[in-house]
Amino acid sequence: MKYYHHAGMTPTMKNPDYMYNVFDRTRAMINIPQIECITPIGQAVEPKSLEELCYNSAQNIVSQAVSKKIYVTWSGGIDSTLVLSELLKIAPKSQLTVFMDNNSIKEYPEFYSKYIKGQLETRQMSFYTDDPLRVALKDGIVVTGHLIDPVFGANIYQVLPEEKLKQSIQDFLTEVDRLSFVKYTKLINACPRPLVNVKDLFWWMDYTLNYQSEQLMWLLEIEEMILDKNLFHFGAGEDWNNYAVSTPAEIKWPGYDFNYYKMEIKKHIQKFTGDENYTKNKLKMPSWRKYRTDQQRWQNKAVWITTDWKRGWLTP
Amino acid sequence: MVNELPDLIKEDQRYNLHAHPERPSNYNLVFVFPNWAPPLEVNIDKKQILSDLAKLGIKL
Repeated sequence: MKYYHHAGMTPTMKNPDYMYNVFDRTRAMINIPQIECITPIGQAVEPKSLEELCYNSAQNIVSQAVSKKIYVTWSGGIDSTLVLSELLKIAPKSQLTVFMDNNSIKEYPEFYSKYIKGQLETRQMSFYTDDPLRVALKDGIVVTGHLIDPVFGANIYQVLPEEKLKQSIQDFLTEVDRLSFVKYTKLINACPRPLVNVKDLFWWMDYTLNYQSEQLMWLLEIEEMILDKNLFHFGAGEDWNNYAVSTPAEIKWPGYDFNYYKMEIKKHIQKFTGDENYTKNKLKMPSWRKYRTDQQRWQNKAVWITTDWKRGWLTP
Repeated sequence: MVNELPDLIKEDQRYNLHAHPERPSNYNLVFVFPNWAPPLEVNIDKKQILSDLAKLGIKL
């Protein structure tokens, strides 16, 4: 039996970052043969432009939806605003429904006023229950901004000082214990291009170790969901992965001012919205909050998912 | 349910829910295997879990 997820086989990383259900997509540092990799890591190639990637993702989603509704989960953040902007370019407004809550409006009120309010159907997003998503699946597909995060960087960027982020890999490795040195080295050597500094390394760690867990979010809780059938992550697929691996960290996040993080995406959004203020001042916000306790979430999560998308549950 | 910000702040304070990263004190790698065990406060019978995992060929 092969799995995409198995809580009994995948470790938790507790330091230096916190990651649940770590699956090393390179298999270089931690190899779990029973777990299948859903999407292989990218290759060092001449990547497609951000414009091409966005256009292709939007086209793919619209063609897969056929006549079904397209439910876009919009937090008001950079990634989900990109998704909605791209779909607004090619999908009829009558086909689009926005999953959102009041925090979405607070995060980007101008976008809500200009493109959503009175123009698109909206549904209340609730992170306390999956029921709204289950209802949506009856007549539509769900689209998220997921997987753009591990293409561009890592949440831990927010708490790492500039001097650490710019540290060379060689110097970084001199400060860790022997076992960590061996593990890091295996992972670093598995990258198709040379990693230049700690900023690059922490992107690579998130991209290789956390990607599949993020890809399976909601699929652990909602049995009716099947990846790339009725749940689509906008930043998924081979081309985005090639972009992730082939694009230097200094393009994804120029310098060390957090205002410039994901600048390429913000500039692309600006072409649609004309909103220069957003590009200059919008900061990455954590849209994924733990609205339920670990206890509540554990009770509703599948313990494993097989490669034919059967879920296994533990019953108390 | 409307996710009003004050509600969220209360939830954060009550359960420490906000999933923001913390600055590590060092950069050594720490992994904990396996990750199947539920939080201690969850009332799930450990024997049952071990039995279910044994059916999968996993002995702990």
